Amino acid sequence: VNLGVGESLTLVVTSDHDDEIHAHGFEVEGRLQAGKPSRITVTGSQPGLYEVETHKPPLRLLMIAVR
Amino acid sequence: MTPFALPAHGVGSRQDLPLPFELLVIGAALALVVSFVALGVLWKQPLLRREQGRLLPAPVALALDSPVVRGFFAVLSLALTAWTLMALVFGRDNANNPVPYVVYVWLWVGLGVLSIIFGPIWRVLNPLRWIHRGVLAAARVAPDLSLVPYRLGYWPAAAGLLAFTWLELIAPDNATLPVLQLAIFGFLLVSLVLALVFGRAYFATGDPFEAWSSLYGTLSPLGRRADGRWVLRTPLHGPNELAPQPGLLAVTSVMLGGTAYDGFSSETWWYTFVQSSPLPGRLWETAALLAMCLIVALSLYAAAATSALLAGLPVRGLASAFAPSLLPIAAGYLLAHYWSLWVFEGTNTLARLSDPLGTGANWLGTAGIEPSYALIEPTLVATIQVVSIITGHVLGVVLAHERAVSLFERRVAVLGQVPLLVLMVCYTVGGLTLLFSH
Repeated sequence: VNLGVGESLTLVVTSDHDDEIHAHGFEVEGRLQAGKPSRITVTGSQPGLYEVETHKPPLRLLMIAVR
Repeated sequence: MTPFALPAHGVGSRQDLPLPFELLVIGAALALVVSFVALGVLWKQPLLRREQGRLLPAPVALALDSPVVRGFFAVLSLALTAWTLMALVFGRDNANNPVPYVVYVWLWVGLGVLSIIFGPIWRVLNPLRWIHRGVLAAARVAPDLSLVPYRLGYWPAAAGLLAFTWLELIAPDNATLPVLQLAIFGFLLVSLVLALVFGRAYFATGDPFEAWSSLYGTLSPLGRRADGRWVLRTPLHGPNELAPQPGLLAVTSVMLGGTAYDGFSSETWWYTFVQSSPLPGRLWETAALLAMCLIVALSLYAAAATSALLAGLPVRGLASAFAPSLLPIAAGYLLAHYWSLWVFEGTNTLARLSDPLGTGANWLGTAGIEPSYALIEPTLVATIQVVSIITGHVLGVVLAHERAVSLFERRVAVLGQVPLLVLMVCYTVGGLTLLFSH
């Protein structure tokens, strides 16, 4: 996913089990409840490629490219 | 550093943007053209000799050999080791603990980069040499005690570097203190036992970080010529005079294969496949790391064997003879992959070291230090990546050429190096592709 510097991106994530979501580099974390959509918002500041992942189990969901 | 702390969570929260496609094409085309032009125009007789080099001014040479200067850096290294062990044992297990950063960024990338510039510095800095010396002195035994003569060459280093790469890139919870305690104390113990059994001769080629530092250190412009005096010379002289030893091909393959795996593991199709496979992901990842190292070793072996066939020489020893020409390529990969990690997390390491116990302290006064974003600006990073990979490639090609004209008869020397050139072009285009696709 591409994101410009200064732009924001809101992710709506629905998990089938309780989990945590973590956007690396933006240091945004959110709690996921089974079956309920959760939102996290990240704002691009420094260019780079950043990973969004869950913690239980550790899975990589997507990469955000800030340009 | 904020008192708020995330759980320990790998090292490096940002990666570089993919390499622009135009740069990939330009880089690949350059590699191809340079290689085959080199074949035609380069020298036909061996050119690099151990007597060559521009003498360093006497005061500089004296300083480099001075026990005071060397002692100063050794004490600094021992102090940093003690400081890190303190954070390892007494620090808090969270993302502000400096230990994973010291180990995965300074000891790995930092030591590689500094060795490329200054030479085999770990020989002077290695805390294990000093611990080993201390243990023997305490037991009132001569410092050169060995129970068994050392003959394993680079093999222990190859195994150690492979294990380290696995720990850094694949092992679960590898930035948490319990895992790091096990790894660091285990490594210290095993190394000390090996050094006590084989004597201090073990360190030069058997210790993984000395091998890492001395092999990258061959590329340094600082070196000693045949009579032992300090000279400035080309980055080709060092690798060219590297003596063939058991395990040299293995250790070079791990150095190149490990970095290649790091690039490969962030390919989208690969991690999608690993995550959706019914088999444990780490099994696939471990297999891929081993495969990368084996591909490097086997492809070099195959290229050397083809060369031997074309040149009418025995295959034996030829792959090892050409292994040093992979060192500049590995160094190019290293800089391309880890430049931004080194700048960004290398600086963060210094900030974290100021608070080793996680108490909010600022003992070194470096807590507020911030990485320079100008040094990791995307265009600059992409340029550094392409320039270092292409420079590594060119140096590798020239080294292989020098080897070929010294090993092969004149009439087959050109033909004999074609397989190696093809292989190097593959490595270089592969390295660029890994940086381009994510």
